[in-house]
Amino acid sequence: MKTPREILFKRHQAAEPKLDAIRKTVVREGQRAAVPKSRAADTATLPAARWLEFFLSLRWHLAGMGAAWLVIVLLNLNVGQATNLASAIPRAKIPPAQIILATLRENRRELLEMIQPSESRDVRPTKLFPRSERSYETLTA
Amino acid sequence: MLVVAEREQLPVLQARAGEPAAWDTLFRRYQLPLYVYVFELVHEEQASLDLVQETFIAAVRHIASLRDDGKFGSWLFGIAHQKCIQRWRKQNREEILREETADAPDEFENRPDELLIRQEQEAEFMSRLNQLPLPQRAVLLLHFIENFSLEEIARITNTPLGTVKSRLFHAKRALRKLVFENEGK
Repeated sequence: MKTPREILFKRHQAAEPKLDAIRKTVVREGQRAAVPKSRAADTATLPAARWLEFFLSLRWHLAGMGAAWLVIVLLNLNVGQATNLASAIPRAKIPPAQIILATLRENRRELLEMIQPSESRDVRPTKLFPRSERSYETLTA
Repeated sequence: MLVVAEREQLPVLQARAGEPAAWDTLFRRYQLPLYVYVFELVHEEQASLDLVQETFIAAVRHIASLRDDGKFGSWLFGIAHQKCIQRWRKQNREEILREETADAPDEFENRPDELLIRQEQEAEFMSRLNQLPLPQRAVLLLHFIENFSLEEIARITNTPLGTVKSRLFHAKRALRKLVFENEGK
């Protein structure tokens, strides 16, 4: 006398070698798929987490330094633009040094003439007038 | 003699951790029961082997969805059952899953070893088993092969408990007829 289970299992016992092969294949494939994942988890996630933690602890310092560098870069850009403008003048249009010096001397002489009264100029002694008359004269001069 | 271990300790936890040896142990334990179940439903050797393989692959992939490690067996059979249904759907053979049965009595004997079959009755037993409507056959096979409880069978086949009870009652009654008919001879 047999139970239904025994009858069923006996009937399909011959399939065991094929089932063994299937089992081995699936386990092998499963292992192959799982190993890179676990290795990746071991080698990548732990150091990555530590680096992330480290950077998060420094986030305000890094933000401040970043802002400072941004300002420096912006200022540097402005200076660069100014030097670019100077260098943009064509060389042909710049006069020779002798002419520049002569022009500067001439400008200086004119300025001195304007500031210091010349000896040849006629200087009349100033008369003292009542305030009302003086102002009139000045206006009519 | 093949005996189903009563709630044996299976290395499900280790399998969850991806240990190949644990998977090997689990598959070795269930490969033949699964094959018997699938074969007796689809009746094609190659298709049955393919379905067992697909079940194993799905188990490895979806082990995280198993909530209770103690229910690994019924979970695995549930996957295999779904694979069989998918196969019938592909073949447009869903009608074989529909079945109307009368209610079962509240109390009935449902021990798998209550039915003992003589050697000369074995062929007749298999013939009777294969004549059963497919939903009844599925329930009866799960009951015979792994001695699953009615609740577990309901979960595996995704069927209400009352329906499982009814199917098992009618399937066993049909098989018991065989035993008693032959005993009367």
